[in-house]
Amino acid sequence: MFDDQDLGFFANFLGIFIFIMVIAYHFVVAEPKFE
Amino acid sequence: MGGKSEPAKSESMATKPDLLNTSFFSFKSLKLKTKQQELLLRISILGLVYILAFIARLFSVLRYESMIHEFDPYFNYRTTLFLTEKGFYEFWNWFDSESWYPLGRIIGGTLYPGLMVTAALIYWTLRFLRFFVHIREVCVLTAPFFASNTTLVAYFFGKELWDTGAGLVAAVLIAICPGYISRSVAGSYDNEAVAIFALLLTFYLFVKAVNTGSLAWALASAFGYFYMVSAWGGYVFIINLVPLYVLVLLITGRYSMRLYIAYNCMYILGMLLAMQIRFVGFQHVQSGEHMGAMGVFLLMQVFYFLDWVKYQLNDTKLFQTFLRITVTSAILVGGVAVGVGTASGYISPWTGRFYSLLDPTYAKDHIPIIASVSEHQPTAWSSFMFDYHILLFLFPAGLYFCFKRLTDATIFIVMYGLTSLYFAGVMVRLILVATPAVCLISAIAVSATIKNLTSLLRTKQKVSQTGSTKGAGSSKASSKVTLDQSQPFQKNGAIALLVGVFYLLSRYAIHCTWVTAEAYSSPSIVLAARGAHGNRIIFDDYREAYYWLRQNTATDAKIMSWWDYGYQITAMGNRTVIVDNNTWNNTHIATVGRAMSSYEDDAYDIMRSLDVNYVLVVFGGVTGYSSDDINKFLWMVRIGGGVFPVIKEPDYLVNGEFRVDKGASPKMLNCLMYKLCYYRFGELTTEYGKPPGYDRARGVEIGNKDIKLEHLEEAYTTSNWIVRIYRVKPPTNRL
Repeated sequence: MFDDQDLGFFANFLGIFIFIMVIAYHFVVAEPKFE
Repeated sequence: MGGKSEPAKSESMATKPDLLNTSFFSFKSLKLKTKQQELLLRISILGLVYILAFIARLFSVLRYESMIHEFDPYFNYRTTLFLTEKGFYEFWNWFDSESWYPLGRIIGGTLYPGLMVTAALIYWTLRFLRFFVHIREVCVLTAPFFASNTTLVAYFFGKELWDTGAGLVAAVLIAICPGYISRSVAGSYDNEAVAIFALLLTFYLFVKAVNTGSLAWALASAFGYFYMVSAWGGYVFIINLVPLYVLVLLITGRYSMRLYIAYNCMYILGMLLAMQIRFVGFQHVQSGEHMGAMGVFLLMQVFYFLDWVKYQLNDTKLFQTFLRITVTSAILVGGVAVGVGTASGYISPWTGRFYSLLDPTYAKDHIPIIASVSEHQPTAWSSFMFDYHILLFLFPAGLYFCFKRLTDATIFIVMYGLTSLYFAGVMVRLILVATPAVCLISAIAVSATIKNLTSLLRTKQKVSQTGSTKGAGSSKASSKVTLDQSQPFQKNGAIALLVGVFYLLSRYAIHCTWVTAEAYSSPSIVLAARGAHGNRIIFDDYREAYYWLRQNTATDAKIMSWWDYGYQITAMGNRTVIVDNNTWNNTHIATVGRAMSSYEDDAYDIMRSLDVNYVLVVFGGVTGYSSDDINKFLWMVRIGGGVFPVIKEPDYLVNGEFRVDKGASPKMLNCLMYKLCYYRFGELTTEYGKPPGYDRARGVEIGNKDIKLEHLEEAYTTSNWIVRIYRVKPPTNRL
């Protein structure tokens, strides 16, 4: 059963993962050839 | 696809045979172009943020059950239920005789229907799609659903203000920001749940309209404003901030046709639409709080007129004279109009709530009923840290970036941020209104910083390539070689800073989850505590009491309690109450406060005059629950004393101190509230090693253990003594 502790872990994981993706996004956009 | 496979093919032909490229499956063909990578990342981030915003609000559902939280949401739930069962017209014309007995309440004319209509529409849509869910589930999940939608609006708003990167960061920040989560967890079925979405949408559409000068966007912002007006009284913030913003643009010489179109369309259409909400009515043309918007509207016309005259005259000196005369007469006419309007009573003065926003001490001195609510207290610094975490120092950094690139849009967000942060300092609940601005401005800081760092990394790579291919022949090349020598340190520095930024952001994510789980996911109708062995103990006394009322009292029974519990009693107990959380009639609440703080004989007369059958009190002496009626008692005295001077606060205090032990004042020890809370309590041992009658909420032994009731009798006390219900006896036979 998925309980509130599991949800806490999942929310933390997802939050951190999204921030990694945000940094990756900025890295991709910083490509000089990118308009 | 053709575009991707072709280069791989030509490369393999040109260079020596490569295993990867000549094989059937080419890895290079999988490599996405930068544009595609950007699109993929953007869509993934937005999708995941949408999910995260929703699931981060579900702690209470998993920990307790799918239930409505707190106080006001119970009224909203009850009205939504009525709307779905009886239809819109019945709802709009509903006279509720179950509250404010004997006065009643015209529901349709005294509420903001946006939330209920939204939930009902979702419910009907789901049913149309053959998802047969209960309306309660829809109500419980409305707030998380709208929080997810808010992240999308934040993304578009951030994009409009700065760039796509800032939009994405804003979406993530607002998705989990505790300042917003506190009012939008599952079960928090209150107006703010949809209002913050509407607020941000209106602002975004308006800024878009100002940026583009498009009538379509202005029209959309007017509809956004209408939705906001239909959902929450906080719309007054919009109708004051937008004109203030327009005024600033006018003063700073940023008047343009774009602004003229955006504001006029939004104001006129938004005002006409807002008048359709009965609770708001004609306030836009009659209330002092809305006059600023009208003044700015008229000023816009003066600007337009002056612009036209300037074009016609073509003479600077003549125009200067004309300008002076026009501006002076416009100010004079405006001043006289406001003066006459106010003096004649056509323009109503500012309300107490509005005053208390501008002056934090106003409510404390003049309106105890506003000051008594905990969420109306001034905000402590710790609350800011708790609700904003790293945003607290990112906000000033974001302001710096905004000032560096001042545009019409960034001026708006700066003004929104600064004004709302002031209001957040005045009232703790207004942290909610400031949250979107704080997230957007902080997002600009985060995005701009990451952008600087990543571009440092990217440009380095380019320089290193050109430097190595051109060789050291020319002077241009040699300068690049010099640059290359410092490269490792710069690159390492940028990487270290990026890691630092990531660390801060990840701490923010962890903090938000922790705050949501620990502080903002309690339904407050069901209480949880930790037992001696660390196990969780649930106190479900409220519902126990309300269900008892529903099943054991006459259907027309009238229940008297402090106003906090009014909505819950009507929604769950289905019984008539004397006062409730609407607090529209101060005298009626003061009458209840007077009854609670009087001696039993006097209180009995008041209860008889109100046809009261049962009295309900909340008591935390056994469990140590501190939000009980004894701790709220001084507010009952103050509010009662505000209308009935026979009730005097010093009578209940000893040397200015509020006590319930032996040193308490005689009036306190014998008033109705004290008797009802502590009846039979003197016989009870609550804690090992303490004498009987030890109050765990206040940590003292009570002063009056021998309580006798004359006109009331105990009807029901819940298992943990949190709710106690007393029956009012009929008058004794006088013959």
